[in-house]
Amino acid sequence: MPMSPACESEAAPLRSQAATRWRELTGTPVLALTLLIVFAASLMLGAYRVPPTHVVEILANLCLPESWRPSGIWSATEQTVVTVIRLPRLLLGALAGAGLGLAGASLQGMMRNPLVGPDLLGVSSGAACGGMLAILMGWPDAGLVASAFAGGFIALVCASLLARASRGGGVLPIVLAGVVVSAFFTALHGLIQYTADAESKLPALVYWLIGSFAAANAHKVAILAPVVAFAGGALILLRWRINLLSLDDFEAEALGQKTRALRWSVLALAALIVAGQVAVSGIVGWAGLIVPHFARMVVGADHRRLLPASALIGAIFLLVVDDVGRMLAPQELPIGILTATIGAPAFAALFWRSQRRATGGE
Amino acid sequence: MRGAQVLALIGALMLSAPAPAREIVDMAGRHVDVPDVVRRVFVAHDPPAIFMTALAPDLLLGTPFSRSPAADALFPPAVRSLPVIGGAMRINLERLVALAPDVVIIWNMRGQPDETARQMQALGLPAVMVDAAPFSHYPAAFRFLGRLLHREARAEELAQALETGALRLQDEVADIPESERKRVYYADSVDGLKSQCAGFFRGEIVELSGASNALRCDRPDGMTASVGVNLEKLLVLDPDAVLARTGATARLLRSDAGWRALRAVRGAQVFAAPELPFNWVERPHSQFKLLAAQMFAHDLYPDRVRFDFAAETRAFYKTFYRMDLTDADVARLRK
Repeated sequence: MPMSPACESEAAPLRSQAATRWRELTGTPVLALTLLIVFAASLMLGAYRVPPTHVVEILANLCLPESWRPSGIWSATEQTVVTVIRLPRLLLGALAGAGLGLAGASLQGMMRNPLVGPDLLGVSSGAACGGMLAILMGWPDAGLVASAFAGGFIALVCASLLARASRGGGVLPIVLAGVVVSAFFTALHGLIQYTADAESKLPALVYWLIGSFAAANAHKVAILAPVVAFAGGALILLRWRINLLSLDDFEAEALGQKTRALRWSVLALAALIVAGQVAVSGIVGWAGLIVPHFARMVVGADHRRLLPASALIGAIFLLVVDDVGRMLAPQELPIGILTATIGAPAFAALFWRSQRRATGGE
Repeated sequence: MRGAQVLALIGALMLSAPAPAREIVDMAGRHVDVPDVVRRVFVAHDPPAIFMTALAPDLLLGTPFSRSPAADALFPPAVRSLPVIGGAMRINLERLVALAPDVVIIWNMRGQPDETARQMQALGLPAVMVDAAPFSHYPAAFRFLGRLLHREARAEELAQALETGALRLQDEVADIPESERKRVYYADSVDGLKSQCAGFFRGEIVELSGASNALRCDRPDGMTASVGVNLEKLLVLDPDAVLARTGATARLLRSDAGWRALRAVRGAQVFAAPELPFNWVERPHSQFKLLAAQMFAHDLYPDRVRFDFAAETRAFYKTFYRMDLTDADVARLRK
């Protein structure tokens, strides 16, 4: 009894249906392979020239059992560049991308609304607010993540309660609620920046608010990895139920689902991922919003395939964008700026297309 | 067996790196192994980088700050040819590794656990921390850098120039009776409405110039923010003079109807610091603070403090940058 998700309402001609089906089935393995290739290529890229063979040898030396290790010669500097600078940064980018993709796809499914994302709902803003507070107070890492999570979750709860107060339904209430919540937390950012020290804390805060993987290290990977593994894993396990949430509550309840508890779990898990990501790398806007759209183009709207695909595309997307950020200019280009410059036009295009379809499809 | 191989690998890695020749205790009290001969230096923050432009510009790999053409003309030639490579948090780490610095110099910001120091440690680059605030630590900072780079004689010359200048100024303002001591408001931000409280190191220019800061706060100095004030509060404070961080702020204050309500503004007691090759007061903190303090002291107490802008600036440039300023240079500095 496979459910046909509510978003996919177009009746595709029969001929192309087979092609679509094929794409849906092969999409995920192809994406996984692409991610591996992109990751490997990114490891070879950087301002410091390390021959690809050395990269492979250093990696092999890092992960293989000792009898298998290659006996290549590489310099200590190359070892540092690959293991201390590139590897943590790429892992952090991939984890953040996968997490944001998952969070975005889950939220869009749960809210039956392809125009929401962690940043539009104010989660990133809220999490950043909590994190800024932690930086201002000089709290340790655990406090930073906890504070970011509290901020993100409060924002998410506010946005969804506010949207529920509307009886209209549809896209507008939740988007407006997100705008309101975001604006509120952005005002708090301003307040925190205003009270922060211009010389020592303010640059750190501003830089952090823009979002960047430049300060990635193994420690940050160790913070984000368990968060994404736990919350992302849970969302993936819940993925067929998210299909049910994309029906309306009445139908879902009829199928025996306790939608209320499920909704809140999805909210909390998404908030946890975004909070973890924001805590280690600042606000990386738009990825959570547009990545699920790319994923839908590849594997369709069924969340059983959409969630893994969003995770993979999210990781690929942030890896590629961060490659641009660290290669393009002699100084670092923060990734938050790049994702916003790509994301905002992409979002505008999606919006335009969906509006045209809504009016033209009559 | 495995342990032995790891040890052998570590041994091989250490052999390929230049052997650390000596241990030095930096100004944060950390013990750091540095090469005996330092030829390539990356400075992560502006203030110690500006110390280095005077002490050993030939050893710099680049400047963390960007330089306008106008500013470049007022740096020594050895600095003008340096690339702008960005500082802490902005420099591309792989580029930094490629530049292969022998040592990294970091500003020892008070009380802050230093992320940059940890980052450099992870990269295996020896990093030393240097004080850049308050002003009274500058001679020690120059002497420390002199020891680090084996430029002791030059460092001593610069440290003594700072000490002598500060001492002379102190003598001149020491015997001002409390009744005549100027109460000064320090206009820190562009709109003039942010400031530093009495005793805060970022506003130390006020005390260095022999004035007392009109703005008093209860909270202690430290990594605190600028303090916001408003015009009404300023009217209550009624300072004798305003020291503006930038010329733009001073012009705004002089022309704005609200600010003209202040006695100090109406009485033309608004003074601004020069901004070439960078701001002389703070952001960045630098040795130019000495000149700024002498200049402001003269502005505030023209009868007590002698200060010939052209002569003093020329002497300062001669000592710190070994440059002879032209009349045009002096005019541009005074602007």
